[in-house]
Amino acid sequence: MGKQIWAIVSGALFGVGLMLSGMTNPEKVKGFLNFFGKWDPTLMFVLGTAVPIYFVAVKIARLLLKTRPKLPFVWLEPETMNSKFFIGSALFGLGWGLVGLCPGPALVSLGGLSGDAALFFAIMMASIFVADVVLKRFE
Amino acid sequence: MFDTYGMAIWGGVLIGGSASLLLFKIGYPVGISGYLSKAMSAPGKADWRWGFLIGMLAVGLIGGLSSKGLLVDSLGVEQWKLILGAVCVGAGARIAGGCTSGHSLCGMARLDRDSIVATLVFIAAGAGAVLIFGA
Repeated sequence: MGKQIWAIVSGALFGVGLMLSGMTNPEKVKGFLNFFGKWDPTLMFVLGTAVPIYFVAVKIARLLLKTRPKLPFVWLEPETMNSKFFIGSALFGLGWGLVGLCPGPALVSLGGLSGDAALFFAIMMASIFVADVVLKRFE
Repeated sequence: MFDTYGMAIWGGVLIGGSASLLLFKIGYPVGISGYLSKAMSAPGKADWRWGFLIGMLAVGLIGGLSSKGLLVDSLGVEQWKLILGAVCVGAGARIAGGCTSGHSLCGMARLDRDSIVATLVFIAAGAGAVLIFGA
């Protein structure tokens, strides 16, 4: 139960961060990706702030592990950089640039109760589901 | 309030801070597409992931109800782009083994090479989409 509360709090703060930063605003996202037009650097500051903070958190976690190796930190295995990985990354980027939403902001945007945000989320979920089924078959 | 650079930085502080909170309290990195996948494929085993997703949705609802314009009223794209984009984002994230949160935030902060490469490809392909289909 304690875990669930921390998860809700983290998710809520993460969601507020996405809304404040402009990540839920498709126009901002496409502006950031518009390198060959009127480039809007705003979203660079989002990752530029979030990544160093998490970098420090990871450093602290790894330091803690040295004295207490049983701490339950989970480090995911890196993906193999094969053609599948590049195709997936390129597909993701294309979709991101086409609409201006990635999965987190798509979830938060459901709260706006707009029909197109709901449609985007529903199709994205169906696509995740189908991709999982197909990927499992090729494993 | 709407100094957008300031908001981007404060948003980044919240994003990095909440991801750190999750790391220290639960032990896991943030990975929204992975959580969504798990919530569908093994809903009984998604455990605290449900909490994280519900927290995000809850603040989205509050943001949507507030009059500060935290969420846009419409995504402002043609329907075919919306459908194609959603298919690409969903499948692409699973095939790449992560999305913006898993690769571009947590993976890059861990200095994982695959996540750095994935992020560069995300941005390059996104820039290509904007170049071809417009901002």
